[in-house]
Amino acid sequence: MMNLATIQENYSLMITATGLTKSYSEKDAVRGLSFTVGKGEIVGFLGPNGAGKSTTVKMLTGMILPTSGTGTVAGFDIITQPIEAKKRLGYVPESGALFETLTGGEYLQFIADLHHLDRDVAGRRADEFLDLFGILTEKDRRLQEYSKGMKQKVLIAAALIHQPEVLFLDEPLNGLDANAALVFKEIIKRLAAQGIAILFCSHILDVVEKLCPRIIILNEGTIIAEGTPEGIADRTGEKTLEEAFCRLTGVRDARESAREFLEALGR
Amino acid sequence: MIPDGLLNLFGVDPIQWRALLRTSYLLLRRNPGSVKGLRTGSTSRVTGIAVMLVFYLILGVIFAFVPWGNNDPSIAASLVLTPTSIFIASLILLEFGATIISPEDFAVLSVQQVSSRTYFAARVSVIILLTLLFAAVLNLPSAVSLSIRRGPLEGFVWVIAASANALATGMGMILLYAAALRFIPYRRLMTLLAYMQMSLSFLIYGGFGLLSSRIGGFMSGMTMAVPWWWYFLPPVWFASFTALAAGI
Repeated sequence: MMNLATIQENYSLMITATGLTKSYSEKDAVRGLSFTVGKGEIVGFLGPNGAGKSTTVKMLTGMILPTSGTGTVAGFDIITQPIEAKKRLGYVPESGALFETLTGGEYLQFIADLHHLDRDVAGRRADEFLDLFGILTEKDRRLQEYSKGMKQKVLIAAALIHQPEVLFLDEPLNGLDANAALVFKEIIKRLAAQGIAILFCSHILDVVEKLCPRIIILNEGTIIAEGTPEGIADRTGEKTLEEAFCRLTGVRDARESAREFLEALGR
Repeated sequence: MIPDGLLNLFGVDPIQWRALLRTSYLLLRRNPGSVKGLRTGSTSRVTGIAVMLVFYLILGVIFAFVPWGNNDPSIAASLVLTPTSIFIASLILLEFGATIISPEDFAVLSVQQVSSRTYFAARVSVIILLTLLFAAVLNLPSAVSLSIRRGPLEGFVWVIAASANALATGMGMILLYAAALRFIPYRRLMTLLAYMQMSLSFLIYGGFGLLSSRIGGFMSGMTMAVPWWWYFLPPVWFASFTALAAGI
């Protein structure tokens, strides 16, 4: 088992967050968050709903400005050099942010144009991605006619089409069928092996556990644990990451909760 | 098409500008606002924007009777350019508000490497193109009518006046919209505009029906003594171009 220090030493930093804070009308969504992700590293970003995962990702991708603190992506400051940072990142949002009346092919071409990709190269890459996910034949259909999973596939292709150095994945497996999820997990592993830094937000603990050598757990806007899945489980005195997560985020015993729920239903 | 050098001079990325323009065109063609397209067969489809263009062209043809029947080109131009301004303003605010700003744009573009200058340039370009398109269908029949009646120079000046009037209206709407968004949240503004749209539909189309029943007498040989506030109407300023061309 590799320890945390060894993992971090092996990578040059591609994502840094330094004291990131985001407040909405006196409530802190994220409070003084500091962490790093190195080249070729996949870091799992875990937390219950409303923990501040998406807010953190939105700040790091330049979608929203932090109230205080800062961050860098591929060495570029997200506040003072947002365009340079955005050139180098890819982002898969948790829900479909697309121009729904464009076709899948048109949308990918549009994103490729924004990244100054040669039209032939962009077309070839778009076809490869769509083919990989089994939706090449749907390329000329409008996105509003796509299922949730198909839209997610287009979003993944759009995030990868310009070959980013840093990937932010916010619940990327949402709506994907089992085959596509499998392919995507394999893509993530290979991209990391090629040196791409990946911040992987998810609720699916076993996926994170399998994919991410290092995990950051967030609760109420602050980091409550960081380390390898085994290390986090050890420190909390639990056997699995799932149990450690429940303990750290204050969730009651799942079996007890389920029993009470069924009792309340009279079953 | 604008040369790349000129766009670069203003800090606008030409490739992204063209991509945004192309996409805006596709979105506009397929998101026609409140006017739905017509199904003209099992496969072909006339989009909402085409329906609107035909509707405004019909209005434009009706307007063309004003310069035809009026001896004072400046008054005639004022009578046509004023409703043109109102139509363009209401179209931009109510039908094509999303071309100025849209939450969908934020979700898609905020993570892309598009500078605010490039985005703004693309939005303004779309508004200019839309404005000129609708100004053309509303005013070209009048320009033709005036050319036949009083000569091509005056017809040509009408086109210039109508374009300037439409562009001023379009830019005014962008400023108004941007200013409103500083004080009113987007969703509330949209609700407000929806109510405005309902009221304006009655006002504009109902009012125009009422006006057209009286327009015959209204325009015949009209050389009226204009009220003092007349000259404060921006379309009247542009309409005065035609008086200059006519040597009045």
